[in-house]
Amino acid sequence: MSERQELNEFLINFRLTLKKLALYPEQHPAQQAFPLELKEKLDPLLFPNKTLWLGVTTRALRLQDDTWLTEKIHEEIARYLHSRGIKSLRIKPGLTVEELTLFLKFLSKSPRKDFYREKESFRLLEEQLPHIEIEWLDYSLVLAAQGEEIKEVWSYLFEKALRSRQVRDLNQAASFLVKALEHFSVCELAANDREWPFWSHFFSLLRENDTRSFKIALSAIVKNLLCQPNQLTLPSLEEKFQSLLEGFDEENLASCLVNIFREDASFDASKLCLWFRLTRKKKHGLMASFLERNLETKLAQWPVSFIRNKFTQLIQGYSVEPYPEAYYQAFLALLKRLPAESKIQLDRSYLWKHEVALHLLLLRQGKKAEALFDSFNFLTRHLSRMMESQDFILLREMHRVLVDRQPLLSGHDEYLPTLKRLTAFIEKKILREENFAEQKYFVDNLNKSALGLNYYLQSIFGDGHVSPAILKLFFRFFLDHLFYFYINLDEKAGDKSFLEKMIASLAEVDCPASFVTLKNIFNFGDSELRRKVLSAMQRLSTFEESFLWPHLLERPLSWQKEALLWLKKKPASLERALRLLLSQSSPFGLKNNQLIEAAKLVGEIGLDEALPYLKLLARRPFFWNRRLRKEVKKILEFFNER
Amino acid sequence: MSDRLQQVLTLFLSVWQAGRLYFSEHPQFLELLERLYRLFSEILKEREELTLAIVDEDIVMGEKIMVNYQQRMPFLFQGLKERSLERLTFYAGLEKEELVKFFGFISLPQKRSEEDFRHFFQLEGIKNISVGKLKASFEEEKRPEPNFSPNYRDTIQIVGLIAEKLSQQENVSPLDLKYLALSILENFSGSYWQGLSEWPCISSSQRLWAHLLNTSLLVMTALSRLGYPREDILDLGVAALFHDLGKAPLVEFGVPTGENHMLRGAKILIRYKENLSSLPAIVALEHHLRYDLKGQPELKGIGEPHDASLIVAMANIYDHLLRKGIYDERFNPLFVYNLMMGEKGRVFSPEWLDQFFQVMGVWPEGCEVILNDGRTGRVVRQNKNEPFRPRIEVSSPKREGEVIDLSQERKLSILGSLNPFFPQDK
Repeated sequence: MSERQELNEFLINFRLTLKKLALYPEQHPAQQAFPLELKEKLDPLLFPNKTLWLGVTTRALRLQDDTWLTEKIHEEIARYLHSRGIKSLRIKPGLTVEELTLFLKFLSKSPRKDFYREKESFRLLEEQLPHIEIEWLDYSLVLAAQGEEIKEVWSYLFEKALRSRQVRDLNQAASFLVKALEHFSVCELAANDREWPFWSHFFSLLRENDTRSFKIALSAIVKNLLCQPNQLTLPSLEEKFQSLLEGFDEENLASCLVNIFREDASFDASKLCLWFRLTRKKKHGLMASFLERNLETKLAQWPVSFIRNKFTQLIQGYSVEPYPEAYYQAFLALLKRLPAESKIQLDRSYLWKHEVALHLLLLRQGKKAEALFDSFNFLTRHLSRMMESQDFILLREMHRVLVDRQPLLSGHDEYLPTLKRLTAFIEKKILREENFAEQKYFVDNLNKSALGLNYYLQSIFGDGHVSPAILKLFFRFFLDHLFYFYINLDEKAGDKSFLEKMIASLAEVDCPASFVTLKNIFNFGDSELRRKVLSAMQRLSTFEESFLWPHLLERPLSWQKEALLWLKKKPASLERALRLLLSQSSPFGLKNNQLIEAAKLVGEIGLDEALPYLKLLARRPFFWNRRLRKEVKKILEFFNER
Repeated sequence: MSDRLQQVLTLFLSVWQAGRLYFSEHPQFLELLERLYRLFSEILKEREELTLAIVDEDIVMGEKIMVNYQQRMPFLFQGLKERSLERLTFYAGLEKEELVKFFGFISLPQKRSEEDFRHFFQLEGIKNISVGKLKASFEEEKRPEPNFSPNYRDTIQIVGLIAEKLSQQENVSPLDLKYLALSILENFSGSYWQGLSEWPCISSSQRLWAHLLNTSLLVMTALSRLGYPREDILDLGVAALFHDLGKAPLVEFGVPTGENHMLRGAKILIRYKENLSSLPAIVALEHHLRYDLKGQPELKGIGEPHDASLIVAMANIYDHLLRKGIYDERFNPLFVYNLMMGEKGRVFSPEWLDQFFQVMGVWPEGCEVILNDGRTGRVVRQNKNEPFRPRIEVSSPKREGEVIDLSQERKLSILGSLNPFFPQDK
């Protein structure tokens, strides 16, 4: 029997003995017999004067000459010993049965969770076990990885897989590789120059025999390279892995990249650049297509916000760290296909408005000055915000409450300035002819200007802003200063469009000041303007016609039409006007043309009040009035037909 | 030394609350933990160990006994109780990493046994902290079963305590309030109906707090099911918790008589704006405003109540209506649903009302219902967007324990529900 066979014999019996000892109670004769049998198997291994040393990992045993024992029985024993915190076991020649029995009993007790205690309890037995030495595992290693042993196991399994080409061995090596990459970089694992040339061959075999294992292993390598780019300290290292990755097709490589995309939080444009360098010789257009196709399937699975951020980051990184355009276009296309971002959350952006409403209520209802001042202070602080947000409803309420509570608030230093600020804001809006909600309230309720006369005059006559609202405010605030208004108005006598705008606005402001202003315009206006003035006057309640008489007979007659219509408001004045127009004497027909013009005018407007005058004109004697009589009769016929 | 021990206690609670509210890398949590660790290090230089123990209503910290502290630190007592912790000992050599892991573990909502702690400490290598019960033995301890009634009543009391503090304008930590809201959500989510059943046994002095708790629970449960972020859920939970603060039977100096409870509550809560934001005050003010603004008080300057107010208003009325079932059997969940739906667009926001019932269902979890095939069962889970078709655990007469999903079993439907206030109806 060879030494290896003897060793296996011993190990099998070792395992069996431990199991049997666990079955029988302490004092049972079997407890003596089994160790004896085992000793018989052990003795050849210790003869002559040899030591048996076993290194222990989680799944394998190692001999002193670095031979790995990985068969099932070895794995079982390794697991058994490892669970007891044993890193290595040395059995020296001269071991007695008693020692072996004691040792086996120690092992066969249930493993303690606390390895320190395990170690301590063995220490108590050490004196009785001079031929057995145990090296204990470091506590942290028990809980964590196994350090350098992993590399050794990997090498062993790698070589074994290449030798045997069996699927089982290939898979075992591949899964161990994945595990090893959790603890080491690819560069470290691939540092063995003897092994490296066979890496491609290994993966080829793996791909042929088990596609799934192949993809997992390849993915692990790619992930390790991209997550730990610092391991590629030299260009030669990049070239090394270039040559490895060159052997893989674009589809598989793209699939690896998709995994990194998800798993590596720091995957960015620079890593994509590294990827490009590592796969330089591949067709990146093709790879990008595969990547896009793969990522598209993930759009429904991965969190939208995650994908969106990732794509955005990569797209933005393109300008700083350019990677192949094909990828950039792929990310752009995918970004567009993402569903619209809907971030559900409570809208707090307008909470401040509700708080304003609360303070307005407190201000309205409060009775104690201190409490009122608190709310007032709050509103003052938020006035700018209300103005910026153009919330005129809130501004209206604020103005209302400031005015209503003026007796209680006027003692506050900021009361007048605040009111002024608010008023100024509103006035400016109005003076710029900006329409806004609640304008009517402010126009009706502002009592004092914050901007002053000159501001208004500049705005109206300098900037040309005229509106009913502006005029209402002006007449309210500066009634005593109308003189300045008229001076400015006179200077605008030649600006027809301005005056037309002014007339139209004045027509909307029913107050004596409007009337006076219209009169002013009438005085310097041309016929067309006068007509507009008189039409505007129709809409005002003020009636004062004396300004008309000096001008009534001016020719050509045109605005007199509007004048007569307006004068209908006061029949006596209308009569007077009609008398002036239609009853003037015309010696030898000298003024017949004027009379005919006047008759036609009243005929155009169908003024019934003029009929008596027309009839008289139709009967004027003398031949020089023949044409007058004829024209007037025509007009009378029109009246009759009507 | 006493001041430092007091500081340790206060910081301990703050770190714990921060751990419950934020994740372990959050700057606030880390900052508080750093301060606590420094304090521990100072103290443990002078002594071998420092023990914090809860004895009845007292706290023992080292050699200092703080009497009747349960009222002052209700969260600490509640939290330790939930985790079967009566004694915590910190030893010299305590490392910061141990504290981080420890707080990470106790910040989780699950109930723990002493065995859980032992196992955890072993796994994580925590050697300088030990925990347990006062009469400690190392016997295997049964995992504590959640006990609804005492927990619910305790929480009602805590709500009342905090409400009193607010009414009296005492200092209240915003962290405490968020923590309270979080506790309510974690402990009672899905148990609204169970809480409602307790109503007849709740004393009249506690009923207002119970209603606040119920409303807060409904609001937070609905929002969490709708997918709102945690911050919104907790903020609204706090706002709902004090929406009727103005009804508190306490006299505030100088409060005008005849003032409605909405304005009164808003006035109290607006003083805490710096810590709580204005949200609780707004909700207190607006929760009776109605969607169409025809409610009270008359508010000018806004076009509609804030969303937060609309949600709380809904939950408030829902709770009120269901509680009427004590006196009027008509007020069962279906009746209440129809009643509320009838006021859609007037009292209630259409959008919010629909969403509320989509996620909360017509029959709340725990409600005993009668199926059209004669069986009775208990609603165990809602089906989103199918408010009339929840999942039901059959209770009688046959195939007990079977869970039926009404969204799949379209031939089955709920005919009605059993009144929880009159269990003899079964």
